[in-house]
Amino acid sequence: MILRIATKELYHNITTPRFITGFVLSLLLIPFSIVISINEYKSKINVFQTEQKQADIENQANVYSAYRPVIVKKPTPLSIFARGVSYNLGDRVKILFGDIPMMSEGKAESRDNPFLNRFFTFDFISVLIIIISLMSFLFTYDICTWERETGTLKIMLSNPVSRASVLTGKMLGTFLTLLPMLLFSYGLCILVIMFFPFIHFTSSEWVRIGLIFLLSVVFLVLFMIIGLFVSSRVKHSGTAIVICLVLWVTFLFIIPNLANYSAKSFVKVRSVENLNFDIQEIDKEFYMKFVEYNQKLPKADWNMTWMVIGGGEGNRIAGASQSYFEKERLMNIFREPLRIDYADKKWSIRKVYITKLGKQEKTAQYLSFLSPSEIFKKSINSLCATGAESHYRFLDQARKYREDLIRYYKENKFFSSYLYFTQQDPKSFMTADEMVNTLTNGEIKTLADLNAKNDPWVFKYFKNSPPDWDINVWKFMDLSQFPQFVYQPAKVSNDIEDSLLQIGMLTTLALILFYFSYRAFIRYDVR
Amino acid sequence: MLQAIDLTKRYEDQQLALDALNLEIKEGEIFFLLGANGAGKTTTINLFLNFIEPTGGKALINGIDVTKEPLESKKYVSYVSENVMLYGNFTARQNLDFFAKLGGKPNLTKEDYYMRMREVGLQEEAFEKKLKTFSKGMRQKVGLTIAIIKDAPNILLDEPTAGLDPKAAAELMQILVNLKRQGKSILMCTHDIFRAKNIADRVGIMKEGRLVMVRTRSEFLEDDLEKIYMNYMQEMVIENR
Repeated sequence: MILRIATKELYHNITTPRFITGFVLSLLLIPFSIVISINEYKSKINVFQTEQKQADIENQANVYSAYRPVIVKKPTPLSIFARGVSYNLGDRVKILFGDIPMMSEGKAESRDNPFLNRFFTFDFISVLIIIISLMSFLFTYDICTWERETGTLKIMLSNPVSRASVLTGKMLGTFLTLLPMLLFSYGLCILVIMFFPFIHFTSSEWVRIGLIFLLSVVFLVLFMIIGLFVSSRVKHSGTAIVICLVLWVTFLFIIPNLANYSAKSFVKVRSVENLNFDIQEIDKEFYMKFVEYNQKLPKADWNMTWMVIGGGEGNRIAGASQSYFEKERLMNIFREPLRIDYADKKWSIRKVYITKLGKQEKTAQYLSFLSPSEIFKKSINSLCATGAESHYRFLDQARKYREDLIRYYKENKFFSSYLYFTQQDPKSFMTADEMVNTLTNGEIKTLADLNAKNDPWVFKYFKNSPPDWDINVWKFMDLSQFPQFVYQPAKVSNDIEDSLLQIGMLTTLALILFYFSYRAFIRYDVR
Repeated sequence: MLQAIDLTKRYEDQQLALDALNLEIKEGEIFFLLGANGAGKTTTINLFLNFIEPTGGKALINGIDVTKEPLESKKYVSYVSENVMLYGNFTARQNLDFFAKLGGKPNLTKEDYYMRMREVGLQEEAFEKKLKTFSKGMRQKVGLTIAIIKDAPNILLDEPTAGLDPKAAAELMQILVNLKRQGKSILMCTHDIFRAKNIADRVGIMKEGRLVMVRTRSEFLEDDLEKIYMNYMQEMVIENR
């Protein structure tokens, strides 16, 4: 009996203009959104490749202090399905000893919270949410009322058929009407993707796509049940459509927007400028400390350096006197652990800031859970690894990698090594007098003789320099033994675990609403 | 056979829609239930079809309590509503097919449907036409065919002639007479006193949820049914004032 009613419902639905409307909407919007998403993904890949090339260059080092690796996260092709917050955030992190990575480079230094979703993004899932929720409502808002208004419900129920069978049959028929629309949308999406050979999905990503489809089915059923719930509670189709449209606008547009605004009001986050001011104060303190220490160290016999390349964390020095090199080495033994300590100090402030941003994002998320479409979107973002969690995960791994790298430096006593800042062999280090003698080809014997010339432009006396005094010819170090960063994306099972709460919420909501709809339909006034 | 024993319905707002109705419609009998709007005619039908639960008494179809065994009781009753819309995107035959199967007749052929449609006076060219192209009268005939095709021993009709032209209404009455001859118990709620006079075996007048008068055919032909009915209606108007 249920199948008979379902078949009737299916046939009835597919002969209505709304069925064609659904397909036309899918046909127009899905390829359009996919092409836009693919182009965005393509440009993201281009940025990644450029950043990766730059990182490969930056990640070559000829002294230990120069090795501050840049790590770049590869964009996931699943961002074509749901871009989440991945496009609000950069994918590049430079590992520094003096700073614990707070955010990736890109949008990080913005005043807005990049973890908050945008008001609307034109990706596959956003478009699918619009189509599926709208179609579900259009096919269910009058699932009870229309048959009541036309009197067919009375004729149907005058036969030996239970209300439960009628309800189940009608819902099954409507589901079978909408399922092809969902399949068509996904088919169309995959078909368009196949036209772009640079997009490859791994087997794990295919599993995720399968799960996204299954979740979409749950989402479809949930919106059908919401439509049924409304239909079973009112007498007239006109009332039902108005309620459904109000719910639709509320779920899809008002709640997500309000959630972001409310979260910003409830959880106040200090400005980035304010944060940076505190950070600068700590940096100043650090600077003062090592300047103070520097003054305590014995002075070098000559403060001349043949070549220095500065910047970053530490200088590369060539052609300095032995006492200068020693002073620099002693400075590093003091400065680098101090730099790490001050990084921790800055992190304690940044952590509060980032925790607040996270709290703001979580508040927005929980508030947006008033909307089933937002719950759905959140789980899809988790499955596509484009949600805030994925970014947190990347940054956590970057921070962990930094710790590993520091530990490696400490264990190998790199901070006390001359190779931390020079490739010159310590055996070749000279006194100031020896340097003057070498540089002037023996024409001037001592530093005192050079100083006696009282010439500010001493370089004109220098005729010769050893080859290892040219930093540009220093060879890059073999870094294969150094800890390497390999991003470990979450396993499918982990993401499912993360999504379980949302899937559970969607399913529970569906079951509760179905229970109440069922009860309402059992008592539905068919008159 | 249709039976109402002290059948009562009081709505949640305490409005008494039906007050201890006692009624028995035998096989091969046409019973017309007359009364003003809100007199309790449709409530009676709704109770027989278990669309609403009685607050007292019981309704029996072929001796089966419709509240206790609603699905079983519905095997023995057909229903024709006032305004038959049916499924506009389906053809007449598709509508019949769907409802026949729901009514427990899964093995009927296209020819069976055609035959029944011919019986109610539908033109052959309409059989495979979509119902949305039908006039109200034609839809009503399809509705009646649905009731007939179920071949239930009892038929409930709720103002089936409302909005029909006189010819279509007369055709409908003829069909009811034929069904009566087949031994069907027919309960028809209507305002149509003239049709009642023509074919009813008994007539009941309802007023404010109570069956205030029942007359057999010989009785109401003798007394002027129209006059009796109008008197009851007038009394109600005066009371309401």
